[in-house]
Amino acid sequence: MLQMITPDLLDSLPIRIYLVDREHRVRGLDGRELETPGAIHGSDCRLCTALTEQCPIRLSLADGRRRHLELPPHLCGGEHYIELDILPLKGTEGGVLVLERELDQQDRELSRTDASLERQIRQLDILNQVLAALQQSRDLDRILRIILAGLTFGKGLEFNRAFFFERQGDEIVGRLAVGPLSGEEAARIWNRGDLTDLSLGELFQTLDHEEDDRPIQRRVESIRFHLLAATPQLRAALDRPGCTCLHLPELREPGSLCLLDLTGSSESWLAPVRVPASPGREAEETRGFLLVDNAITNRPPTSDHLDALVSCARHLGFALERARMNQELDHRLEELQEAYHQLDRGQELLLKSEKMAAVGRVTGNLAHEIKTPLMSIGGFARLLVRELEGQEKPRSHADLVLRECKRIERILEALMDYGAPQILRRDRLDLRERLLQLRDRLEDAFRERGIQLSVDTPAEPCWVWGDVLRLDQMLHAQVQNVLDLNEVRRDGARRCRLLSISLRLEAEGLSISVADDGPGVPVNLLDNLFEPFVSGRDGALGLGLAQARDIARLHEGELRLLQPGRLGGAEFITTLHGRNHGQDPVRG
Amino acid sequence: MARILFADDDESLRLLYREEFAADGHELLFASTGREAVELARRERPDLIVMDIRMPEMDGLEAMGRIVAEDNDVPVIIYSAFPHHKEDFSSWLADAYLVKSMDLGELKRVIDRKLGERGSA
Repeated sequence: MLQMITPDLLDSLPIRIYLVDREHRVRGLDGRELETPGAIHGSDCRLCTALTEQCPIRLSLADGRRRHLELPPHLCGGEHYIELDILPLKGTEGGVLVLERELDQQDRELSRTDASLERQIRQLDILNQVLAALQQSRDLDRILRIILAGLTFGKGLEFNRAFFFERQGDEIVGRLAVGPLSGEEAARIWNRGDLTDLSLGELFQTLDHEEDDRPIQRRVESIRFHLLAATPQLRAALDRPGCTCLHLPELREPGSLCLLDLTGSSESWLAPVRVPASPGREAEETRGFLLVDNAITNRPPTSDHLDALVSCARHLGFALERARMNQELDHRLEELQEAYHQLDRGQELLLKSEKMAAVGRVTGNLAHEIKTPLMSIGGFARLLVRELEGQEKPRSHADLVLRECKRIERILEALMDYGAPQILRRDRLDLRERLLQLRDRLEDAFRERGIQLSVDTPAEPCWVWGDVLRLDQMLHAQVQNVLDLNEVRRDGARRCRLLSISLRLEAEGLSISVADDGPGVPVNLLDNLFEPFVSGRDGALGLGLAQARDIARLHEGELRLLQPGRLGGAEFITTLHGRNHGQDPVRG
Repeated sequence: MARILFADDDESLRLLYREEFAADGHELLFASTGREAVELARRERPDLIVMDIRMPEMDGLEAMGRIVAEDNDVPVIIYSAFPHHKEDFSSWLADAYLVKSMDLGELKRVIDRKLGERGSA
């Protein structure tokens, strides 16, 4: 505040001015007040002492250099010492003016300092909140959202927009962006009370649940370019620590791509995101970069803002590395859990198979013990039938005994077969050919039952090292199951009209699918369909699918049920894993 | 007419074999253990042997091995309720392996064929 000094003004000031001349002789100390500016103006003084009425203050003037001035509190807002740049005095008038002006400036500077400190505290607070949120986050997308939200948070760093671009090999890929794409969008977003009133923590929570269909996100996701297509300015910025200002027009090579054209900004600030060296990584690596701008407000960022940007990029690098290590840890944990699960399942299967094997042995022995007397009964019944020729009634009774004996014999043979040790005779065989033969054998029988049978195989042979009889038995059991289920009348259940057998050559081996459009396996059988003696049809022994699964496992494979299958009914899928299947064993 | 030795520990089955095959005019010999079968084979020199496997004292496979060691020409038909003994290599000495059935028709056919091959039918 500059104003002409007048005697009235001097009189109104709460200070009195005394002068000390070059020889340190003080003028006015004799009690004579300086009544006019002219009296002071005429003095050639370099040193001035100003006294208040209550306490003396000393103002040392020496060639305009900065000096300490001790002032009473009511003159300097509570501060006892201020620094002033005092102009060389040509007169007392100038000295007083300088004092007035500097006090005023000091007030303003103090206000500015207060505001600056307040801003810095807010920024530090935001960085702290960002860091705290980062430490609790393992998910990469959430980490990125936190960083970008922190950079654009309206009560802190206040960048208009923030982007993260990821480096994937030699490509730069837009990953995430926060902020408005246009002025209109900015007005709409920034006037939304529900967003502007949020704390940063609340904003993080909001971002977690927000659908990512914002225009700027769609824009950034559309950006992907090869590093060689980037401008030299951008390429250099990626390897430079700290922060680089990119501005239009970027220095372009012919055909190079201007990133700012894509983000719609004339000036942006870039900070590379680098992950630290770690075991397995000798040096730091650039994983991408943060890009911020004030494209809407055009306000230049302060050095504090840019320092915060660099700090965010550094923390993002650590967070990315931590997220990667966490992911790797999770992956390893999942693998361990899967291995544990498989071990557990294997043990369960082993126990079960041991139990089933024991049951099989007991069943086999029991069947043998029953079969021997049954042979006698049946054999003598047969003799009786022969001997009673001509005696209708006793012959029909003997015939009945013979028929029942035969039925029991079939059951016993099935039981004995199930209980017998499974030994495979492995031969090189073309499964495709076996399926085509199966189709030729069964096609007519199926047609008679109103079922269309289709077999779909690759054009080339599908080699298997396996037991041809057992594999045929396995396929028959699955097909028979379709017929059995179709025979059972269930209220409202549809009839099977189509049975499709499909053979596919896959990377892991061979896959055979037996699917139908019939009623499917009854729900009450789903859990134990592959157990022995489980059947959906009365009178069936229920060993077919149990044996089929055993056969698949003996061929390093598995048999499972998918329901509803690809045709809407049951679908049995046999996978034959292992190197021995699916390739020509001769050619390798 | 041929001399056929049936080795089976089940008395009812031995009776059934007697009823079924006597009518064909063959001379029938019966053993209820493997050891008895070896002794009968050595003493009576049958033209063909029908051998069960599971028998007391000595099972049919061991008995067959001993008989064949002494007379390599006699045809032996393994007639067992168990199909899986086919996998046992000691059963490969047999001229035929049949699974027991109350219908003796197949056994009869194989006996006739083996006797025909031997010239004893």
